[in-house]
Amino acid sequence: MNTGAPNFADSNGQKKTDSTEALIKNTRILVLLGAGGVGKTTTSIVTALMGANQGRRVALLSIDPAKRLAAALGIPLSNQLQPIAIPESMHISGSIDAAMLDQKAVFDAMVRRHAPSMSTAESILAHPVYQAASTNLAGPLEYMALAKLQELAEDPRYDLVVLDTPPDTQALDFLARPNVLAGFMENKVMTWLIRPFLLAGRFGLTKLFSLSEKLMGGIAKVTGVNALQSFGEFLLLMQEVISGFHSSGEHIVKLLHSPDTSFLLVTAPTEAATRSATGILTELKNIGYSLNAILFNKCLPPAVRTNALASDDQNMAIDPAIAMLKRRAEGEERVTAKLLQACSSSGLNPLILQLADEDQPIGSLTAMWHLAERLGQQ
Amino acid sequence: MLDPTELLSRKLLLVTGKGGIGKTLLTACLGQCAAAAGKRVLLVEYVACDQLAPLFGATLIGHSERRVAPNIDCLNLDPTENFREYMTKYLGQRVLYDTIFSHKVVQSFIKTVPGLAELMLLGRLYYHCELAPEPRYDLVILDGFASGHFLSLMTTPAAVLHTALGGPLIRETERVSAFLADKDKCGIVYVTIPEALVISETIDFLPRLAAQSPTAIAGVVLNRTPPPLSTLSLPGPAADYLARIAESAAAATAMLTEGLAGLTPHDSSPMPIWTLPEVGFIPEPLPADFAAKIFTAQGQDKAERAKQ
Repeated sequence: MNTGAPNFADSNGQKKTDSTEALIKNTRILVLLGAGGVGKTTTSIVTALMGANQGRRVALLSIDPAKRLAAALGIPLSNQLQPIAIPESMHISGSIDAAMLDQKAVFDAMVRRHAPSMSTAESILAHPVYQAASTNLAGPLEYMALAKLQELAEDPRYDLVVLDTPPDTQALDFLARPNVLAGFMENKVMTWLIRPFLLAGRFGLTKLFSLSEKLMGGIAKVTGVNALQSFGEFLLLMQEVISGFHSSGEHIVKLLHSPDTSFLLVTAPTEAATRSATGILTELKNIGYSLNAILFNKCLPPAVRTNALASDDQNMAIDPAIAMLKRRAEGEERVTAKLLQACSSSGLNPLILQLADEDQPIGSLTAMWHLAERLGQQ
Repeated sequence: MLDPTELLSRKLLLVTGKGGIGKTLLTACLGQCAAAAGKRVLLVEYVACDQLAPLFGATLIGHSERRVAPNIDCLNLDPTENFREYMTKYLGQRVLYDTIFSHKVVQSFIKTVPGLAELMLLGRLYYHCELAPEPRYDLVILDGFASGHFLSLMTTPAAVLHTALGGPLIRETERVSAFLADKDKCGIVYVTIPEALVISETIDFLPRLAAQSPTAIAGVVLNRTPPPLSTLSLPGPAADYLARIAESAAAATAMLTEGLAGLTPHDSSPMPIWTLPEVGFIPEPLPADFAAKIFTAQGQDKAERAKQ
């Protein structure tokens, strides 16, 4: 598939992508983008394998992956990098250390680190409010991923960092305004959010969530029933957060604009995924990052597509299943063309990759390697 | 095949499942069916980009109820706007909101207060089902979050009630909780697809959801079930492909049936598992009879085959 558009040059005027292998070879930080359910996490593992196969020492950051996937790869959900055991039969000379960032796991680790005693930590971890809060909060994970990214980019033990972004990231806010991030990177927000639980530890469980209580109570009081007694405290607390916002995130911006940082957009050939992908590439362009590759994932296998498209009315009358396949083939062609059109009208000419739904792994490293081989041919 | 009559007799349906497997489509289809039966329906989503509206040929619904088809309104809730409405419309605190809560930093705070946005979302659904001035919607359907996030949504009211808080927020939460627990009025529809990895996640997840959610699971929808094999098809890659997906789907379906055998969330009847066919490609907008067709597709398929 070729858009016929002029070659896209990134901010440094270099085109670095003629093949997946070349893209990965010329990349030090690979950022994966895409809507939920298109296979982004799987792709992050596959590209990490390809990097390792080039003899690279890869750090892979995945965010909120399916627990099954993490289990299949034999690594725990943790913000600490753990080596992945790559079977010898794959003859891979490099290595992959992976961190499967899980919001709850990360918060749990923070509670354990800051709590005055083990027993306090355990009682906090077991509390239903904590459990709801630690899984509910959106945002911190993205910030943590970027903080981790910066840390790894400077770590001499790694020469390729693959970053999987959170599912359903429509707004690329966290890439666009990493200076908002700086506060989060210092863990101020997170420390602040878990402070009620830490206070609870200090003052005993009767006072558990006294701070949350005040915040929630504050909202209730704002309803006009009570005075705004706790609002001052609320604003005082905000002060700490606000001060973090002013710190600089320039370093991250520089990293993301670096010529050896590449962006890979993962999408599926459906109307909904195409709409999301179009939004992402427009926003990426607006922020000023280059898009280096698009992976059309979960496509109908090429031979099946050709076969289905060639079926005539009579085939379809006999077998409604063939008619279904033909509808799918036609639909996939239409939305693929639509996205490519959106690329070329944005002046983008990314490397176009495709994987068939049949190639999708069933959750083992061997199956992932099969996918890596498929991509390596493109 | 899915006969939605019983399902649609409720006031609130919450649709959830793994990302990218057809939650939004099912929400739209249930809406079509209910509307065809003469019900006034509100479809609610809670996402950065409208996903429901394009299925009805509309764009940019945003944070306001908008008619997208006869009897069908769509609403894409924005957490900040929802909070503003809660404050100004329902609680009459416009001045307070304008002076304090409209502040940008305070707004970002609102988004991060544990559980607040979730409570406001559930509160808003409850409002449309039970409190809004007549005539109210007959049915509200939430195109819910993906599984994990959905579970925390559903556990939020209990978590809040567990605190020693008092005041209007808690009274409100108690009412919402009681409503959500009414199995005649509310139900969860879990969407999954016949793929081994997805099914194993489903089997892991549903017992946890059943144990922790106040709302009962009304049933499981097995979306994208490949068509039954035809012996009349011409041999070739397409026919081979159909045979392969049919085989792996059959194995996954068997796994699902077995895995959910012990799960009987209400009375002692087994968990209903409805199948919906693989339609190949989801057109936008959906034809007006799309839901009616896919809800009965496999039954018809069999009937047609029987005739031949």
